[in-house]
Amino acid sequence: MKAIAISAGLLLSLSCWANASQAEKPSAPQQTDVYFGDTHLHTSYSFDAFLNNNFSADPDTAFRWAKGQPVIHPYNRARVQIDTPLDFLVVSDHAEMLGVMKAIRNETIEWQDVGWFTSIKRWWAVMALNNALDKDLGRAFFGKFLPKSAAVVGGDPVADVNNNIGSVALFGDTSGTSQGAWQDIVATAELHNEPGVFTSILGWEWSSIPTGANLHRIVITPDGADKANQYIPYGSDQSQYPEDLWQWLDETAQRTDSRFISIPHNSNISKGYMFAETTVKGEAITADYARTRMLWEPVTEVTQIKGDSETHAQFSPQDEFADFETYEHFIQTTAGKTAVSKGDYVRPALKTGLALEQKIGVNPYKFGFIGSTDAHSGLSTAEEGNFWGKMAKDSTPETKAPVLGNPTGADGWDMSASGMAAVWATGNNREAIYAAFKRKETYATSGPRMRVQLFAGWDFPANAETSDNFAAIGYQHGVPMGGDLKGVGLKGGDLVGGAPQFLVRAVKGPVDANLDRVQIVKGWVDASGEQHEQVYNIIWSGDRVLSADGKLPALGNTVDLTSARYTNTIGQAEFAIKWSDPDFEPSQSAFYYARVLQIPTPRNGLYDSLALQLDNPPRGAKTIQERAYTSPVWYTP
Amino acid sequence: MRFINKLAKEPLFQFLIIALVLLGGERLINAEDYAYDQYRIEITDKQLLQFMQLRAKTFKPDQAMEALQRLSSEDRQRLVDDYARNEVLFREAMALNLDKNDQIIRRRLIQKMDYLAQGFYDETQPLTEDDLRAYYAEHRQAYKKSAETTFTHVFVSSQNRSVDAAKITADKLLAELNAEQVPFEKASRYGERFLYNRNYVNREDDEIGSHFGKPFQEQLFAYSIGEAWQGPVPSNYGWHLVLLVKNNAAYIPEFEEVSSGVFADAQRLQQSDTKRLAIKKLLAKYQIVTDRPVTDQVATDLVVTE
Repeated sequence: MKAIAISAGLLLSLSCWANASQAEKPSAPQQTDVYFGDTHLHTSYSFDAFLNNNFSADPDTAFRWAKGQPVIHPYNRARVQIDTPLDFLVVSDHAEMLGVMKAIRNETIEWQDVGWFTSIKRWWAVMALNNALDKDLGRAFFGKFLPKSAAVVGGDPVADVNNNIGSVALFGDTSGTSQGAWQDIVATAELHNEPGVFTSILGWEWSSIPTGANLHRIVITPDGADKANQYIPYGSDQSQYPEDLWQWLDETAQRTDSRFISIPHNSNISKGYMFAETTVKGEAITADYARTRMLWEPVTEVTQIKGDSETHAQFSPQDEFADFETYEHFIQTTAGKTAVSKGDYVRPALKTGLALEQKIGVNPYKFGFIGSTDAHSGLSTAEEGNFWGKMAKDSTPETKAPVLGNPTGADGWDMSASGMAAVWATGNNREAIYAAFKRKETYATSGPRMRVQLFAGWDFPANAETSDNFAAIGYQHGVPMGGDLKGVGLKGGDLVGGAPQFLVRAVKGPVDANLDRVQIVKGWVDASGEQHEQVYNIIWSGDRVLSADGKLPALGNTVDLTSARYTNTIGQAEFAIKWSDPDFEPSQSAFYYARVLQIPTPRNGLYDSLALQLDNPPRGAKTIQERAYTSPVWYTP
Repeated sequence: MRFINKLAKEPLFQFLIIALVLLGGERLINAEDYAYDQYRIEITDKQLLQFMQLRAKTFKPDQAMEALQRLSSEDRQRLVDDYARNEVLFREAMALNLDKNDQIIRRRLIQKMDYLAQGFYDETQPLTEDDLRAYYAEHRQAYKKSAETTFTHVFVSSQNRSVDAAKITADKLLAELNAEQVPFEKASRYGERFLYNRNYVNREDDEIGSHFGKPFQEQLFAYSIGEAWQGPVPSNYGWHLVLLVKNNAAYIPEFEEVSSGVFADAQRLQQSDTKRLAIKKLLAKYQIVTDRPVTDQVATDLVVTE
């Protein structure tokens, strides 16, 4: 009798969940297509881009390149062209000193009165800048703006005595110049926006990096010039705390009726601060903080030219594909990356989020994934064979590393021709792409245009995975990537009691390499609060057999190391599968995302080392297994 | 004394005296106006509004007006004081000619002049249709449209069977499709799922090539349109039976089809031409003395709208 009462209560509470999940349904679109773009690209308006020899690739160049037109490379002056044009692009220059280096060099700067002592310092700095550029030593001058590492490790990096944000104010108030640059970025984007064909999106970078802890965010807005011309991009020179950025976004959204999304990136060099268990100030994360963060930051950039932030072997020792394109350099005066922190990588962060949710009721790290380039050449190049540099100058084999460079500092050989932001949107326009970001119906790739779909549900119809209506079935019977899977195995109000099912389809990019396999990455927190993860190989090419511990033999490698060519004789063009979690535990919250691996292809450094007739690239692997990460689906009991 | 008497009789002197009296009298009568010019600063909402927006670096007059009206009396007082002090210092600086030989002001003025040169565009003749057609005739190649196609296809994969076995299946399927005269919209009932799309509507040749491979692309564009299913055509992935609805070769469009794009491009060219011409005209007023002649570039290089 007691048992019956309990199950009746259980059913009652389950039907409440079912209602809740149904209520969320209508917001999901039924018909989407995938669009590829870059939300993170710098032009000659960014101070560091300019100091590294990008004098000429302006926003117009960036858009013309993205649309597939031939353009002049800002350093080597060659005519260059993207292989496959992008569907959308954000020109996101650094808000700090926006347009200032360019204006100083071109003598169009508007100086403000800064007092005689600062004026003399400024005069000296301008001389030094011009001198550096005359002698092609802009990179060395750039060093003036690098942060110093913290005196107190693990403290509030903004309050640290070594925090030298003041160096940015070297030239005094230059906001007049920045306003001009911003208005040009905005006007140029408006000119290039062609809804349905190519979408330009307005944005900038808030470049907070106190004592070398990278807290950078890209801010984007789906709105146009009428709203964007009512503000100047908010930079870290105004505050280095993300809370203050969110506050400004909130105020500016209200004042100008604008909408914004803030996208963190390069958590891999954040010294553990990007996804820490506390705020940057070291305070406990509260439900309020978590809600605010998730309001502004639905997605995170997980892969780009300066490395990949999925996971590190230290946190995923069982994952043989961890440590992909690991970037070993902090952005600071002292070279080398000496420490790896849990808050640096997104897979551990998703787990931290689940654990914090258990404590405070809200998950502060419930974000989706995108990739983007962060190229400073004005050219969004994520194609390994058609990579034109992180900066303008490291675009040619002979200038990939600085001749008199610091042997331990980063150079062009470290850089990965990555990443791509893929969105499942109802159309190629600002509103639809913004809506997809808000739904987290996005995924990241390290460059290739593989098409990846993922739906989670409790009971998909038979043969859904091979059906022509794959997406329609997915939307009808489940939630897409970025969504929430609620309730436990309900079918028409009845308890099914099964595990969650995942419909996954992955197709290689039309001109890209074949695919090796599809994996599901699961992370969860158990009753005692302990965090776990598991990687499942769910479908793969060839007749390989899973070992007892769930591993697959490597696929092989067709790359000819003497010519940097590969063939699609291994791997497979397409995978489609329905998979259900064999270890499902209904009482534990969990996340699931798909990882799709390509067959090995040549890395950008291989082409350059062959051109230089070197035996090996000075740094970096010769081949690379490019990949895609879908946004997770979350299961909450 | 004699000299003065003699002078008084001079008509020129008499005229001068009359002129001085008239001028002085006018000054006396209109004294207030002169004071207004030089030493009067009027501060109304209009000035304060502009001042506030310049300071806040945001330009939204309605909101600024609201903010101005909401100011407490103390805040408003501070704003008035600031404005008055700025204006006084500005006028005194001008009176002392401090704007001369100042690099910042010089640069700013050059920038403004350059901007003004851009502004001359507003006074140019608006582009006529004849202008646009002439522009188009000169730049036709830039508007070339890629070849486009519309078709549906039935796919037989060679992934799990040999290419030859797949071909046999495809041949059989072709006979069936044609015997039953299967229309476009019912084609998805036949064959296997293809990696990319079932139907391609107005898609460019390059995209077809990337999805199916170059030989397929060439064969497809060689087919003629018809009710019948054609093929099988091989791709990188298997065999395809094709129902072709539309095949447009690459072409240079008629002016009417692209007129809005032509207008935007022609206007941009006109703008830069106007500016270059304006600067050239200014240059013509000057004799530039240097050891080498100034080239035409001098007009374009003045563009400093960074």
